[in-house]
Amino acid sequence: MPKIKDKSATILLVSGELDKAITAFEVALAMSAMGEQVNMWFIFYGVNAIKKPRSFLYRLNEMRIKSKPAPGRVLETDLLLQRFIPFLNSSSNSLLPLSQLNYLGIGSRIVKYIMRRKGAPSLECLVHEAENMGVNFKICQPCVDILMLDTEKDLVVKAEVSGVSSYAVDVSKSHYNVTF
Amino acid sequence: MSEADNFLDVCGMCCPMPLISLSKSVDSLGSGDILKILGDDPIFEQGVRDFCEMNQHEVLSVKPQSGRVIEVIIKISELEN
Repeated sequence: MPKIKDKSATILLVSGELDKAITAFEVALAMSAMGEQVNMWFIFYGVNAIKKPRSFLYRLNEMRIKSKPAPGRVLETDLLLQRFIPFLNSSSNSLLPLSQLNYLGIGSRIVKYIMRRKGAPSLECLVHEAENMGVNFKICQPCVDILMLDTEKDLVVKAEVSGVSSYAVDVSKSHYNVTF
Repeated sequence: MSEADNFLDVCGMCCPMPLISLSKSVDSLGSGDILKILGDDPIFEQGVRDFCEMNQHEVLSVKPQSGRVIEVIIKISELEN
């Protein structure tokens, strides 16, 4: 007896920090389990929460290659400077820092260890569950263009590239909106 | 009260995983079915009650078992939702 989802919720993730990303995904999963259609929006460093982890050499190689056409990208206005952004913004789904008590990544590792001991699901697990529950993932187009993101290759989930107009439509349709 | 023919064990899972398992298992059942759930999360009972309140299911009984394990029996709502 699959439910017909008449209510909806929109969650916007701006921050690329572990605590905020976990909160956003837990809220999304709870809303989805309660029988609501959830739309998750990602902008700027929030995209790091659904990005694949890449090695140092891979990123170094990517910096060398000229960018290829991808959904949401405008190649004509690309700068050489932009090629450094994926290299510098190296954070990914499994390497997000904490917003406080990070201590150069040690705090984040300690929190993840405690969560594992307690049986709490990791961020990777939450993203996977959210995809299975039918959450819609959407990414802001300017962010894709500026941060040199290949939405087909770099993400762990299937995400749609849209603009602020569809965000406005989603927000006005849904009765629960939150920004992290 | 009829014996529950559907059983779900969410012991060892931490918030929000019991809720997701419950939602998935309720989706696969028909209206009027009875589901027995076992869980040991400290807020498990409250979670099931909230889920039932939101989706108009009925909580038939709540029994504490050994240790922290709690057994909850729910009846899926007759309404087509």
